[in-house]
Amino acid sequence: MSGAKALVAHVERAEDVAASQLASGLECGVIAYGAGEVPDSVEGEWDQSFEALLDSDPLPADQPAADPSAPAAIFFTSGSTGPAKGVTHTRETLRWMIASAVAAFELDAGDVFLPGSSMSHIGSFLWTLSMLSAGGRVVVARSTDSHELLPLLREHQPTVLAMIPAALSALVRDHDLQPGDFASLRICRAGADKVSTELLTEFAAVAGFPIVEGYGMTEVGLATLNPPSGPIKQGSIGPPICGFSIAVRGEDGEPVEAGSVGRIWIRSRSRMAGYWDAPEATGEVVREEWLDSGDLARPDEDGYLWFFGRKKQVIVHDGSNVSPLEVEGALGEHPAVELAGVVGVHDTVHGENVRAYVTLREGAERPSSADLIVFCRERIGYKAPEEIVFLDEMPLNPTGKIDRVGLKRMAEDHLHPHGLD
Amino acid sequence: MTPGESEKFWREHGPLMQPPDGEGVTIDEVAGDLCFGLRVDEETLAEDLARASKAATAAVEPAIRDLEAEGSSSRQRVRDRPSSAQRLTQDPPTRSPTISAMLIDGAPLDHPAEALDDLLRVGLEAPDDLALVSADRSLTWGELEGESTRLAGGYLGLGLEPGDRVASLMPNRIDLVVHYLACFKAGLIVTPLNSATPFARSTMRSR
Repeated sequence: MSGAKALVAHVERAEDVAASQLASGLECGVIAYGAGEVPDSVEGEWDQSFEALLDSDPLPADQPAADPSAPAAIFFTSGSTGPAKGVTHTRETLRWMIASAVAAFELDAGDVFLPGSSMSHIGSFLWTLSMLSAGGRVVVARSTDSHELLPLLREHQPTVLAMIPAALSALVRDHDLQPGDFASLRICRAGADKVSTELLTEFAAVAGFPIVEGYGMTEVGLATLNPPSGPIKQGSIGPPICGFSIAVRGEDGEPVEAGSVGRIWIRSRSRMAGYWDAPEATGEVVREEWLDSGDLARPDEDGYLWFFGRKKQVIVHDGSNVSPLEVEGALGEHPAVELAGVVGVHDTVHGENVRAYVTLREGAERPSSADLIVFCRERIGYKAPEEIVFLDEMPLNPTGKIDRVGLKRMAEDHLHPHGLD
Repeated sequence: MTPGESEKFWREHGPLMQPPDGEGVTIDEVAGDLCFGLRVDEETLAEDLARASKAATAAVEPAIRDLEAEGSSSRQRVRDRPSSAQRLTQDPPTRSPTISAMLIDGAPLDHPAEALDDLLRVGLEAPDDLALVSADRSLTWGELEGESTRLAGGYLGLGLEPGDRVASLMPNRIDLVVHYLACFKAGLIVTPLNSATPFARSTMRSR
């Protein structure tokens, strides 16, 4: 296989692409999208116009069919652990992934799906293709701002909405939100990050039905979902969806008991072929038919999973495992807290201390650090944070999740935020 | 994919990229390499993969056997769980069987979705209905099929060949869907780059 040859880029990104010197190495050049002017500084590098290509002669009908095992898509994971990897899916793994999502969401031609996140990541990429394959309509949101989403909800009356919690939270709290704005929906799925109790409660209050949580990975697509027709367990990521098996194993590789925390292993025909140019990294996560997700969960007796966090993000304080998600959940219940991101910081006595970064809601009265710590102790006891750091803005990673890696780095740069030591 | 299929895949679809300096690869380098010519080494890759796969399999084989054996009983119990008319249950279930081996199966899936170049088949039964809508424009199923087929022809007309990778740096637009479908039709590999962060910084920063 020869090197990749072309880049389709929005003209707004022309300066960035030029600065990266990326364009000069492309055998088939940059395909400029957007009817806007290409800045003079990069003229000449942008060889083709996307709009002009839409007027090409159609692909000949006798085009030979592609091999089902040929790669069809490569996604770069946002690298929440280690360097980014190119998750490679084939034409066949994508078909299984789509079929599973269609079944899980119970999609049919009568549905209208509004995917409220980036279609350059697996989430909305998958929602879009799944809805189309079931013959239903897709509403394309140009951004995840409420200014974009509210008119789309009102005009196109979607039946399914899928969003990342931080953006959904902003939508639910938007001043312009009206009582009927969620009336057309039969499912609101939130995932890719922990959904706070606060958001579950607020959404149910305005919409009249619960958020449906699920769990997925770029490597396999959507893997679990609370079944839209029930039963839904709020706070759980649900059972494995159609076409998926999940084993929850302990450190020794043995399956854990219901009620115990273990590592999520996933089996599905939608599993990636591997990481691009990283056979060792592939070998680390792929075992026969299984994929080691690196995520922790607690299964219950009904086969529903309760997410515990990324293995590498779990905080070990005085020998006890503390899930950042649980601490974030407790903080999120405080009326003044908008978002919370929790990381462990090295401590010579306790191993790690729990540090919480929080942003406050507009207009809320600012609580003291001690107020928030006491508030958490009442809810989660010893897992309550030792330190609170107030931020003006919460760092989000490109997917829109709270950037715990960035927070961890921030924590390492400022080990003692109050200058006490 | 089974391990055999996986090996076959990499045999057929390697060779893969080598990092320019032989050290670790960052997204920056990977994204850059996607768009430049690549240095490749098919044999090394196939060997590495076979070795990793063999070692990994040997290491976990006993655990997997046990898991399969123990799993069958719990699997049955999970399947037998009562369906509830109540959508929302917050109370713990009254039944509390002990599941000793936690293997949970979703319902079986008999068929994959339509082939990627025929993904619109169901929608095209009503070609004049709207397939994609957004704040500024919309496309019917027939238009979506036509645009993606023309764009596929346009891509191949540029000299792109099936199996080539096409990177994209695009915000959410109806045309991004057209692009994905066109690549599927033309046998090109879609490679979405992250559109939300400044490109030069996020994808080209050197280590």
